[in-house]
Amino acid sequence: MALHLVYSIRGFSACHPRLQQEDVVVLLADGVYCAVNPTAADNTQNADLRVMTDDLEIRGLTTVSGKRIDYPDLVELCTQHTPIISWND
Amino acid sequence: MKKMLVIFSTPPYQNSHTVEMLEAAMVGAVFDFQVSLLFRDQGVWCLQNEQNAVSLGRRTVGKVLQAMPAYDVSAIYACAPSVNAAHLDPSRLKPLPQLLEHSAQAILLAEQHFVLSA
Repeated sequence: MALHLVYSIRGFSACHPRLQQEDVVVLLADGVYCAVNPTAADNTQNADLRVMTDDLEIRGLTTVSGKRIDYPDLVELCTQHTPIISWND
Repeated sequence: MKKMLVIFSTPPYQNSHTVEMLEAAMVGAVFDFQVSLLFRDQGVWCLQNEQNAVSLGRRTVGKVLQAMPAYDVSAIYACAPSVNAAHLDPSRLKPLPQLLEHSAQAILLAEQHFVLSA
């Protein structure tokens, strides 16, 4: 299972057509804006959507799709998945 | 053998990323990785034939790409929707890539041990 790190809105657009079921998608930096869209979870093609809490708080975002995670969670995900793919368009 | 995929998503002369990523691909091949290249979105312009960056004082990406088989990097893929969106003639791309739809790209990604992208 791949771990997709999405750093921007355009990165999410590039990532989601290339997802497979059971992949994990982490929204971080400006990528968290995608979590505001209630259909973001639908766009992940059954992949597991996670959102970085710190980046939500920085941007004043509260109501979002996906499960919130912190940096220790991210480190754990990185140790559990191969490959790790960054989307920073 | 470990598999490594390098993804190009920016036009060849927008910044130095393209050449740097090609150099990373060569290094991977030298260390016995099975290296593949995927060109998507604006990155498909890297495959445009007859590039010449002499006037920019930079290396011509097209020529560097054509040297990749010498490093055992011969698996070159391009995103089919991106090629269509750019109105490129696939038969005139150089080196000639294998065109992949999004679903095939998802499978390619899942096969990799390492993915570099810029």
